[in-house]
Amino acid sequence: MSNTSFEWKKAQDLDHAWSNFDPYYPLPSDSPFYVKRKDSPLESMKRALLRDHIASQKYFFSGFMGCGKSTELNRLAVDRELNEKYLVVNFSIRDTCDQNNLNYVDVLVAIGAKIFEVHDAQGGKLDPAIYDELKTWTKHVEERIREKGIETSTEAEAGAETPRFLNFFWAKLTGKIKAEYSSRKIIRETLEPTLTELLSKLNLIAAGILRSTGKHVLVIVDDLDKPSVDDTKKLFKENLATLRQPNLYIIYTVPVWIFFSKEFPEIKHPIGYLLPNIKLHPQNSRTKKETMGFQMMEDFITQRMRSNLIAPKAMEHAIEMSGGVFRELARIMQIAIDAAIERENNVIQLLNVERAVNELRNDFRRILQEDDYVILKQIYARRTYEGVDRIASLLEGLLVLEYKNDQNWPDIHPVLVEIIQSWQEPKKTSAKKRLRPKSS
Amino acid sequence: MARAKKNQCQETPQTEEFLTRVNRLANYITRSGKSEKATLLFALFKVESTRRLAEQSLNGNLEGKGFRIVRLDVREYPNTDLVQLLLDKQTSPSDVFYVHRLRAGEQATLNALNYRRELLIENAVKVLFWLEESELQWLAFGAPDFWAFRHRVVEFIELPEEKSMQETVQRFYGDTEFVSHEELLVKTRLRQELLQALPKGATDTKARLHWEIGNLLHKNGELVSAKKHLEQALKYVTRLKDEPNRAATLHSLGIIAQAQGDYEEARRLYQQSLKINERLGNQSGMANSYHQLGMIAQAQGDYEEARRLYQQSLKIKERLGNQAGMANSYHQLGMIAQAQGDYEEARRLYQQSLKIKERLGNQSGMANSFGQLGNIAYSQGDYEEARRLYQQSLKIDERLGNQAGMASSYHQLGMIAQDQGDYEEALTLINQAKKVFERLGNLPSIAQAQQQIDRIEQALTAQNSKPKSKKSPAKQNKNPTKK
Repeated sequence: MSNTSFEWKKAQDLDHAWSNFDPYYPLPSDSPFYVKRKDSPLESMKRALLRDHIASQKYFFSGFMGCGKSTELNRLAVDRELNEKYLVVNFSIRDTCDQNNLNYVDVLVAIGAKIFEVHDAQGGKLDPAIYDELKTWTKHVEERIREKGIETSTEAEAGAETPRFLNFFWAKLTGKIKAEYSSRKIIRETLEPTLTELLSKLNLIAAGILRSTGKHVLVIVDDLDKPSVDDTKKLFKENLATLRQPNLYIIYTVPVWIFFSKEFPEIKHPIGYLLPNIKLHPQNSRTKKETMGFQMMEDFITQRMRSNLIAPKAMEHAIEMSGGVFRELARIMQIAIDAAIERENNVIQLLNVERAVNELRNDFRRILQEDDYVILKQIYARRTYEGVDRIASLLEGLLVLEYKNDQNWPDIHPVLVEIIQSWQEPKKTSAKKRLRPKSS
Repeated sequence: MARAKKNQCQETPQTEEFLTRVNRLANYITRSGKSEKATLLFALFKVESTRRLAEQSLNGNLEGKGFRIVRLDVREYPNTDLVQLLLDKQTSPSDVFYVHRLRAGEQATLNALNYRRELLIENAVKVLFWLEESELQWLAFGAPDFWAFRHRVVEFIELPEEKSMQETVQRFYGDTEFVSHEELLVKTRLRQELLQALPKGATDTKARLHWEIGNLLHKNGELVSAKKHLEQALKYVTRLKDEPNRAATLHSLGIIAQAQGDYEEARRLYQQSLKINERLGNQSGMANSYHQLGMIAQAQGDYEEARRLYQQSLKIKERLGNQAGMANSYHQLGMIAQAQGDYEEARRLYQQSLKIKERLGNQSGMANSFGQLGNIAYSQGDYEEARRLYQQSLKIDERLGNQAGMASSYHQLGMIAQDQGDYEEALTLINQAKKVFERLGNLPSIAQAQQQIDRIEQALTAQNSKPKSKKSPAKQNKNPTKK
């Protein structure tokens, strides 16, 4: 609705700048705010996708909260080379399913519906025989659903003209899955016993598209990283095999903690890709700067507003404190801008950024648990996961950020440093007692 | 001692203006209204009366700007999909929802917020969640993805004496955060201009402005002119029979006298102020008086009396939930413990103070705490730790441009260098400190630094006249100011 009216225009004053740093927009593929990530693993995923494969591939993609996952996927989806080879179907699972209660059947139905929708919208036509088979299947499904108490008749509502009929059917199916718990349950119970049929229809559609256009189908399922731990385990552990079955190229987003859990041994490189946070310092130094990382973060700011709206020192501090996470930087910037406006400054000053950082720190402090301190202190000291369990929740809450070298390594969120440094277990009295007047 | 002088925590009213925080919320809503966008704000509170007051002020601010305020008490919609509820109730993007008692929404609300957060954004829903601390934790843990979308958390956690809070809403209070010289000048100039432009009458406003100018000038070290303005303010409030403000003005005058070293006059003024506050039952005013009286006792070496007064002050602040004030009390109690040689107790108290200051974002206060903790480490001969802490303090003061604080740190770092035999380094640092003291016109500190310099130079001559030693320990401690 209203965010379609949002203008992606570089801000010339602080008022406008404020609105350009909302912490919640993934960028559409053509946004001028986009910062090219020179370290994105999607580059290598893209190369993998452009290679020839004997069978369709499934990839798993994740990244830390706020580091630009959806933005990167949106870019990938419009990549020219990929679109030459694939019919790209990019969608968010929240458009078609209830993320709060999700299973693999829902996901497969959503995939089918979206492929059909995109292909149809592009004016694509399938072989009449395929339409026929699909139509027969849908009628069969409807019948079974009707037996269980859901009254639907696609033909009555949409007419008998085939693509329209099928489109309507899929839309209806996903609509019911998304909105109504009882119908969802019935649909799952109907489709699950004859899962091979559903899979076969998906494959049929993909094959039809390949034949008529010469393109494989590449499906990107975004926002699958949100469901609960239980739902995630059922999806990517118990039903992983099924999710890998369709003859489609699929990129599933997954929660970041999967990469750190021993329970998902299969989802690793080379089919698992993790978008790291932007590295601002090398692993062995917190003072030495990674120029590339700083530059990317600076671009993030200066593509959204005129660069002279912020004092250089203030910008540097904001970047430093973002820990290389875009959303964190957006939030720091927005609060700092508000603080500047409040003080009637025309330019964001270091003090404004400090105020923002302080607020972020308080937000963290409110949710820190006693034992977090111990672990955070340990990671701060060593910058390894060595001897640390329970890392998943820390990563999820952005208390700990991960960066990438040849190997990945963690550090605590820079905003937390001050808290962790001043936190100490009560110190033993030092034996050295040298009393001496301090001055004259 | 340069450090000790700087590190005193003066007691002044309130941390951040209540109205400033209310306006912050209003500005977010207004601005996002202009651009037809969503707003996800959180107001944190402890007691209902404060919350209500904040809400009233906010309504006042939003009035006439075309917003429609819709109050939603989630208790009326138990276990509900809050996102859907908001969408259902929204008639236009200029509706502003106040959501109360979020927790009553239970898991269903958490799930809705976490999984359907985008709907709020897409529909430009403007929501302000009024939350207690535990509710906020519950939300942040239960709906982490929604929490990641938040715009801002604004705190209204003061435990009010109803009356003084009301006053705060109606008036301006100078903030106690460290303010740069330039900013002080701008603020002072503005008030002076206002004062000149005011018509006859309006005595209360004039009194207020004089009082504020006096306090600003004091912060800027201009004690004599500060006193003039405060005396003018006193004249006005006496004429107005405005007792609360008379107490406040007497208090400010006491601080000036104290800064000028006239302890007896300061005590007299604080006691006068205390008497009024007692009569009015103004608890926080009393706490301030006790605190300052404690400082006088401390300055005169009567530590037991000082401790008694600080504790009396602390007790009231605890009751009022005045965090900033508590931090000051801990700090002063720490100084007493330190003066009496109980370093462990002192450290504990400084850390307690530091913790609060960190939470409140009181940077200059943190610099003070680091400085005092440094002094303790120094007294215990732990030079590495002391240096680390001084540097931490220095870093903050540099950032804030707090000259006096920087000078103290230079001085103390110089002392370490001297103790470790790095005389050249010591000389550089203490000269650096002296220069700042000179700029600030801080006579006792200049003298003290000079004495120190003389002593180092003597030591240096003595060292140079000796046959060349193999290796001076100085080499091991080059540049302690560097990170």
